[in-house]
Amino acid sequence: MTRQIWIPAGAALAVLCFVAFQAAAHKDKHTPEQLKVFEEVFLEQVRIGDLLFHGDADTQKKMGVQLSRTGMSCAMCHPFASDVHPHEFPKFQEQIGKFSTLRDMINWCIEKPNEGVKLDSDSDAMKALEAYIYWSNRGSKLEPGTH
Amino acid sequence: MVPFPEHHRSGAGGADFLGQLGNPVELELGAELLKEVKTKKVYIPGEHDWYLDMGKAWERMFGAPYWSFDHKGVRFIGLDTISHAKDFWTIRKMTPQERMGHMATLDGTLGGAWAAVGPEQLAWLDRTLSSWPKDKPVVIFSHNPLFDYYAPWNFWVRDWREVNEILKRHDNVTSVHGHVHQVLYHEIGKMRSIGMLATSWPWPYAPKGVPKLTKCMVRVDPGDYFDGVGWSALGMNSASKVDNEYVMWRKDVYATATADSGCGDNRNQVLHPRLADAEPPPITGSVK
Ligand code: HEC
Repeated sequence: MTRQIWIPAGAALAVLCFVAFQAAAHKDKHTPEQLKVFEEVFLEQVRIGDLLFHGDADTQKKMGVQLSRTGMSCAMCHPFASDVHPHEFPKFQEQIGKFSTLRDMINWCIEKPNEGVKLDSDSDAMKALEAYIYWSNRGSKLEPGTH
Repeated sequence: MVPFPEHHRSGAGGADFLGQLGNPVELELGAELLKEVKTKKVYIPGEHDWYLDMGKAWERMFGAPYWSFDHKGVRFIGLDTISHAKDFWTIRKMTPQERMGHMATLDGTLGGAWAAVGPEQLAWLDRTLSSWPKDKPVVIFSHNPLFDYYAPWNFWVRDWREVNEILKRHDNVTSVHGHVHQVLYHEIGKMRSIGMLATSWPWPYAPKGVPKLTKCMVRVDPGDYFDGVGWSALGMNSASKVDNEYVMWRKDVYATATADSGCGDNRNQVLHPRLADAEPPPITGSVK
């Protein structure tokens, strides 16, 4: 019985998705204005991440996060997000003792050297930090799994 | 012989903060710690000492920011490479704390190429060395390196060529500098440069310009505050050359294997200057 209900529901969802997808699909060529908007959405996150990475107090307050309790920001040890190696993740991370993502290691550095409060791994602050770190390291060759 | 009170752990204001930002309480604590060192002490300033009150407290406590004296046939010189930042704060109506915040951010863009010796001090250096025989040793202390390593982090002084013009008249010059927080060795002509470790925290090697003569230091454990920091034992040997031995809390200072060396993990790392601190005026698009 339940199965019979589920199948049509699934189909209905699929139709709905199809309609929505059609509206947003890449049928038309992108306009320069559109591309600019996409870039601005990204760069806005880069800016927020940059401020968080550099310990900006207002941004942390606004987002309700505390990335450090030592007075040290990420950038004091990682100028231009150097030595963060986003292009080498995921990998086995010695400190954590297991296979880890960049987000795992961002949280580790928040908790360890910074003595801050770790972030929800899908939070806005985490995504912004990640955006800044990737942006600042763009051009580095992808080498996942490298220590 | 010459301690670098650039950074220290301070308990100023009740907080357990690492580093110092020119607050007189922090400078006092640095002086207090250095009382343990009983030999004659001379000091040169770092940017963290200076930009809260433009060096007033520092000069009152530690004296002139540049100086010279002779000891056992060596001319020692201390240079001020930090006080010549171009004024970015007045038109932005910054507080002294905000000014210091920007100056103390290694990868900040507002401070720009702040490290310099400046024309007045260059003239002084020229005079100070013109009376010194060409073949006798000269040892120079400065906060920033006296060569071009990585300008975006001020791992140089912007007038290093002028400084070098003066120094190259002498056959035996050793420059001992701070600011890089890492093992670093370089030669330009006859001048040798030796970088000091920090007592606060280490810095990664810059993505470009690490001198070829540098033996790379180890990669650091971020979970240990005492890792990658240390000091140096410097002495003049019988051939009138400066010997340097780095001392860290850990046993091995250097590493050559890619996985262990601080240069190894730079081999594939492209970095870019910041966006967020350059505002206003607003910047759109990407900055290379
Ligand atoms: C006291 C200095 C210090 C601070 C502050 C600091 N880190 Fe680190 N971090 C390090 C060191 C040292 C490493 C090890 C680098 C290496 O393996 O070569 C590291 C490693 C990392 C790595 C892993 C890189 C790799 O390849 O294994 C990430 C990611 C990272 N830090 C992110 C951050 C973030 C985000 C912050 C701020 C919340 C931060 N760090 C704050 C010192 C610091």
